[in-house]
Amino acid sequence: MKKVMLCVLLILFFVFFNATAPPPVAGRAESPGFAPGSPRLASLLGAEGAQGYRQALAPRQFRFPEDHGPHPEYRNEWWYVTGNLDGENDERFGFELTLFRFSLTPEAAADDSGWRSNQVFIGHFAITDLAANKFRVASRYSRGSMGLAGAQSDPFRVWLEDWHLSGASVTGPDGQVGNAWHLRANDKDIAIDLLLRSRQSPVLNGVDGLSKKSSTPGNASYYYSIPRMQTSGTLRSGDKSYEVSGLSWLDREWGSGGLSLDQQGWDWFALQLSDGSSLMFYNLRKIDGTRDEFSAGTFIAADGTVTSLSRDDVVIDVLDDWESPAGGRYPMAWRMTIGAHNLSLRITPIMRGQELTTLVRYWEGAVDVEGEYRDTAIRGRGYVELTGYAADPG
Amino acid sequence: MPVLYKASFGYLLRHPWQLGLALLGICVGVAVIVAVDLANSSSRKAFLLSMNTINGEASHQIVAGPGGVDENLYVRLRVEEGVQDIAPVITGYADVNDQTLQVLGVDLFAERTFRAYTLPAAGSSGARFALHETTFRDFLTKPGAVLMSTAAATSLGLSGGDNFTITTAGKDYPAVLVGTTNAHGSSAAIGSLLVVDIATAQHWFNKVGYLSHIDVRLRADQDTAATIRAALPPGTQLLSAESRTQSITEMSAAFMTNLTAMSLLALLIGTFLIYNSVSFAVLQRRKLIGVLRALGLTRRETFALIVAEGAVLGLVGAALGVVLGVWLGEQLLLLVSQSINDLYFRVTVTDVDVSPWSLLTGLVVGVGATGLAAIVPAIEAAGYRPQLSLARSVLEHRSRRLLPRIAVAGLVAAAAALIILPLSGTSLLAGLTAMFLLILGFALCIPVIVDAASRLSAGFAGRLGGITARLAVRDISASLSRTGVAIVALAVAVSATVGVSVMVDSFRVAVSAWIGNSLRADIYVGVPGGSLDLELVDDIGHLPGVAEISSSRRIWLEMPAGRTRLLVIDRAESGHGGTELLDAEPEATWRAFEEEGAVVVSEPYAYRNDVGQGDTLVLNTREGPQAFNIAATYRSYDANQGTVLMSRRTYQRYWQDDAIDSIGIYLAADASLQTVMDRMRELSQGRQVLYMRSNRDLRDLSLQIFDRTFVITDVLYWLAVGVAIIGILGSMLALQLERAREFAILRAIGMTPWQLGSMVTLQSGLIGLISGLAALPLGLLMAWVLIDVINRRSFGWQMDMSIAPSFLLTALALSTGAALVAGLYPAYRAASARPALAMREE
Repeated sequence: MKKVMLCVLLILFFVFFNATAPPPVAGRAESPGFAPGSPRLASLLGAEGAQGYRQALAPRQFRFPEDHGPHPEYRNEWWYVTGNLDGENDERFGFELTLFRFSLTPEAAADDSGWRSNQVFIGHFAITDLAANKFRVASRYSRGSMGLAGAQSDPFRVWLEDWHLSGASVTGPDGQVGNAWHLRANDKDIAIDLLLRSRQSPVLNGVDGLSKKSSTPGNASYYYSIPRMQTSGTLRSGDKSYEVSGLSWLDREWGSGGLSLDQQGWDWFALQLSDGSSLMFYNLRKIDGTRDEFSAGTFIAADGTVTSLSRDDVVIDVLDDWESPAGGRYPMAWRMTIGAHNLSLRITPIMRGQELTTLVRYWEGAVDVEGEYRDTAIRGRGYVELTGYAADPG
Repeated sequence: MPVLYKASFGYLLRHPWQLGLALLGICVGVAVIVAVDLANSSSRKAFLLSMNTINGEASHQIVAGPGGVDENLYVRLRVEEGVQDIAPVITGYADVNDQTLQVLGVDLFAERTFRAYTLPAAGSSGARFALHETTFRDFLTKPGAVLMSTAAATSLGLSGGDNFTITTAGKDYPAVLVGTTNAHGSSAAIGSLLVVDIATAQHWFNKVGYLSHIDVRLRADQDTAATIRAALPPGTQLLSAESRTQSITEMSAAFMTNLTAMSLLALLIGTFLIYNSVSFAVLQRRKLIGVLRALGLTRRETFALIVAEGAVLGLVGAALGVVLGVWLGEQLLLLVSQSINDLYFRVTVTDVDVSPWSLLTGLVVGVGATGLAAIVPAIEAAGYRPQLSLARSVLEHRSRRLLPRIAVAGLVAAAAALIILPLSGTSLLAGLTAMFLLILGFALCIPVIVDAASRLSAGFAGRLGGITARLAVRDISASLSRTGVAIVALAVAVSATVGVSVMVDSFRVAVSAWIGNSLRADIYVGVPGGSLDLELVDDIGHLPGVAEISSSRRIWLEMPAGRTRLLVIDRAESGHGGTELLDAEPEATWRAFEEEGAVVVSEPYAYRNDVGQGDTLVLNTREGPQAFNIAATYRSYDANQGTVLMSRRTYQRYWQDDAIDSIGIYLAADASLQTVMDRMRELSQGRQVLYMRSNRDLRDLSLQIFDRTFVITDVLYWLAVGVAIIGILGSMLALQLERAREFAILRAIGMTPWQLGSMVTLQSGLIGLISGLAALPLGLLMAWVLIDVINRRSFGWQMDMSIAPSFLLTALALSTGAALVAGLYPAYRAASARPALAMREE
């Protein structure tokens, strides 16, 4: 689910609180930068805001590779890649590269200028460098015209200036073409150039890929994941470059709806376990502190069997927390228990300060997992995203 | 020594007229300096501020030729080269409700490194946010969406959501105000700015596919600059934003320097007056000073007393002058900015920017000048022998002995000026220095001449007008220590009017002849701030009654070294001869111009760049730098930064730009001007609003702009004359005061009040006449320096001096009249004084 609200907020904050804002006022961080349930969310994410866009109302027939490409008739869409990587000398890294697409209006106005566009692209790129104890973030913004940013399905390519995620023609030793992606991004101190491969078919989350966020029809999205992509390539952190390999997770989602007014934020878990199984779960938190009934997830067993998880299937206990230097207290270690699968996991971030303090503040970082699955010890890695815990930077 | 100072100021307070006039002299002198400085610096600052608003944080800009920068270069830099911190920009001017506003087309996504816009902070957070969301969305997605400052919206009578019409290059476009910004910091600069999306700007300014420039923010690393340079196509360059702005402001530098020089002239005249006043104050108290010296006042103390007196006068006068200067600056600002708009670049100044620096300068210069002016009388006073109440005759004798020495000093100054002139090349500052030295030198010689003249003519005057006349004339020489300075001040002021009038008139004659010669078409057609619709031009060419069409396009070419103004013309047969060549034979020149790609440069260009016929110049074409042969130099008064004239054929070959800014229409022999203009109006209906001017209208308009430019010059020299008149009034009053006893004796021995009054009046008039006569040669000398040195060095123009006799007569009348008027009150006082009372005063 994740990023609907994030996407909207990113745009708003980018344009009006950073790019065009007066100098930050001291002490601003303590004021509630954004309060869920405020009129702005209502106006943005309510039913009227989605008018004219196509709605995710019923399950659809997914077609690949076409559906890897854009769906501009929906308001929001993103390509979200996170992964845990190892260098040749056991250096440990995490990365996140997200490309958001957002339609400002259902239709683009006709114009003789090539710049006119109703499409906005936003990119977030982060590298966690455990050895150096550094977490570095970069972001990009662009209109979806002039070739500055865009998305296409044939050949598959999503790009934002010089960052891109594209289909690569990689043929395995057996001559079979898998889901291969070329991912490239760079900024002053960080860069990645990775090849992601997976033989897995995309996993449909929710009900046949329709993921409902609240009881309002249309407050839903089409949501699929490719949980285990074999990853290799190069990574630059600071002034050093590394040959890296590991596992990545791709999340794809599009829709026109948003959150309910009473939702505060979410905790999203994407875990790749050592036995070959994977787990995705998003825990929607309500303003009153309770867990929203629309919290949901997917368990993909090593043999590919997919099981949907609802709120009551998953018990989450917070074991530790962390105070952000910029303000706000995040949960920082969890015990996740799924009784039906006889699965109990302890989830610990590899580094605490993986908070993105640009624009909208949220925490998104690499985690380690250990626990028992059917009474056998199991390990794993993954990514966790935490939103709604901190006031946004002024 | 408080008693001394009490005596000193007590004296001044008992003579309020004298005190007031002395203060007024300083005050006006300082005020003019402050006012000109404020008007100049406010105009410059307003321009820089608006450039800073436009440029934001850009350290460099990528610019190309007339069409602008290819938009794909921007995309390539971002997507392929990974260059961040660049932003596409389109700038232009648009008319809304008869106001001209600057339009800035931007890509909001690239803006955060460059410019800050602030949105309204009023209202509840909810309402505010809803506005922001829609503002942002509308700005990006609605064609014609505009953001502007609250102030601009108010002055246009618009509020959020209003639809309005915007006009660029004679075409109307729909626009909608989607949001207002509260500018922080520089409200004036952003006040007249419309911010639109780059797509809207491309549409409005007919720039689809192009950008005006790309803003670049280079940080410490040089790699980015190298990456950008490597990616630039030929003809596109990376230039420093600061030097681009500077090369624009430099265009007006000479104009502003000239204004400052005019204001210094006012101060120079003011300084003479201060000297005059302080000298009088000393002279009249010679008895008191003699007594004080006898009582033990040392020379040094005497000196200090007089200088302190002058300093206090200077301080009070200068302080008043600063206040008056701020007010005067506001009045001048309009004139200065109008001239800058007419001649150089667009600048909108609403308020005088009162910089403490300008005020302090005025104050220091005022006090300094007074102090300097007080030193001579102070030395004189310190030289008084104790107890001896000096007879005036002793003083006069002494000062007459000084006359030749002063004159020699004057001759030395003038000689120095004549040496500086040929040695200083093209330096404007040296030219102005030489001019001031010449004025000063000549002025110092005036007393000797006056002395000689009055002595020689006394007998003659006596035969003509009897004893009264003889006395009046002879007395000018006899009281030269008092009248001399007033004469000099008036002479300098009047000579300034002669010099400036002759210069302006010579200029006007030359410009008028040039306009008459170069404007040959019957109708001129253009659009404000843009290019003509080419199809429309074609249609106009086919109108019945139109025999021939000439076209022109004016562009600025930028090079790292500066800007070059290029005028591209397609000459009509009938227009041949309209360009007066100065150094080459027309037939060969125009053949080379049309067929061999040669250019012709304007006289200011040739002067400024020290080039001429046979040389080559390098211009930045679309294919990169290219050398062009200079076939000739032509006479032109249109732009002081110089113009390069090029044929349309040559231009299209190197720039591939077919835009036309204006056309000249030559009518067929039997065609009626009005009919053709009506037909054109009909033809352009709904396509483009054309500016049409008949040949005569355009001539008149050109001369109007010319005259407008010199309004400020007129204002300045009238101020100088005003200062001089105050001086004459002051000296005549003082003279009359001082000679009260003498007059009383004259009355006692039988002179009637009428005779006495006539004598004083006659004397005043004579002083004026002598000043005027002295002013004529000085004025002509000034005119010569202004035309051949100052004008040439400032603007590169060359013209013949044309002297209208009326100017000389006017100057004489002005000087005599002014002195007569100034002498009326002193004459009345002298005549109406009761002799017994005056004699008893002793």
